[in-house]
Amino acid sequence: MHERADCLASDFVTVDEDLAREFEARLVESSTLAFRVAFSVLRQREDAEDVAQEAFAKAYRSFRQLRERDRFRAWLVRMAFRMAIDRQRANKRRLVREGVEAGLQARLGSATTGDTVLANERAEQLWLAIDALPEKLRLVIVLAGIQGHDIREVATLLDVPDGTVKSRLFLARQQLKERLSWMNR
Amino acid sequence: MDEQMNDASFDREIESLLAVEPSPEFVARVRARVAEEPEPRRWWTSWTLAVAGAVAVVILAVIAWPSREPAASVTTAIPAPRISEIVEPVTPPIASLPPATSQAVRRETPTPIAYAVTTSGDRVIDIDLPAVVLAENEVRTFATLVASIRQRRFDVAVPAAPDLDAPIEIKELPPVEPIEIEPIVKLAVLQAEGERP
Repeated sequence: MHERADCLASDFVTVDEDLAREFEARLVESSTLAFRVAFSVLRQREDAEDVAQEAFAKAYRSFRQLRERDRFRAWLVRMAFRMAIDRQRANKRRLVREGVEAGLQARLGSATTGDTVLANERAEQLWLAIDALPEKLRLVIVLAGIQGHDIREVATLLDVPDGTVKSRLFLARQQLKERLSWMNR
Repeated sequence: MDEQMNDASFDREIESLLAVEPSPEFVARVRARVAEEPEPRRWWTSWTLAVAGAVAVVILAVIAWPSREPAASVTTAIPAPRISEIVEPVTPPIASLPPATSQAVRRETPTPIAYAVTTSGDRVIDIDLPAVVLAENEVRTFATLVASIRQRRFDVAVPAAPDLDAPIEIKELPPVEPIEIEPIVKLAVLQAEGERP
């Protein structure tokens, strides 16, 4: 009886160790992805790191219950994106409450040369256009822009067919161009 | 063609916007944060605990539920004394017993009788014995019997049990004597019949 219990306990320890090792591997391969997804929404390094960190902590809490471990990246991406959106809304409410003007100029740092100023302006316009996209289109354009993901990888991350990714990418680009051209008038 | 070029440059532009690396200590911070998390729960452990708790609650409820016995409508309930103990029931004397009425059935509220058990150490212990349903006339008869025994009106001495190991004595039977039967006289009977008119 005791031998059985010891055997069972050692099995659990082995399973726990295996899970810890697996989670560590997932953390190493997905940390940059989670950070960039959060950064695409928040555009502040510290905030994005905080959100990615919380997403990993949340993922760890439920990691044992995740049946399909291959879906970890997709799960993490959606979680990080949602948490970043929540953080962004909370930041906006806080800024409104404190009466501070949320200007992107200050976040992008001080520009010294003319080229940098132009680049920053262009980047700011692009970010504003991305922010204005509906969430579904926004996530597709961001994921396609991160680490050169192709359509299949984006489809896998979002758990949608390739055709859906293609159509969403097309719509997202169209809306971004329209908005940018409108800004440049 | 221009459209494709435009798309490609557009994608490159977005890629450059998103080409931001986390700080070098980011992964270490995440590891520290994860280490602070409690051990992930096993789903089957929580389910087992929940089921065990539910079963325990049901068992407790069944045990603690007050049992409803049917009320004795025709009989009187009295606690049953234990034969092996010295029991002095608080029963009324025979003289004060109410006369038996013609009414066979009485509907009275059963009143359990308190029994006091006297032990050798002069201690009196009240025992709450379980109620036994008995007919009222039987109770009265039993009380009368007990009182009579106490007053030594009856000899309740139990006869000694026969010794089964003792040899059995068989008395000799008296000798068999032959039986003499006188012959039946038929002629007289016939003559008497012939003389009838």
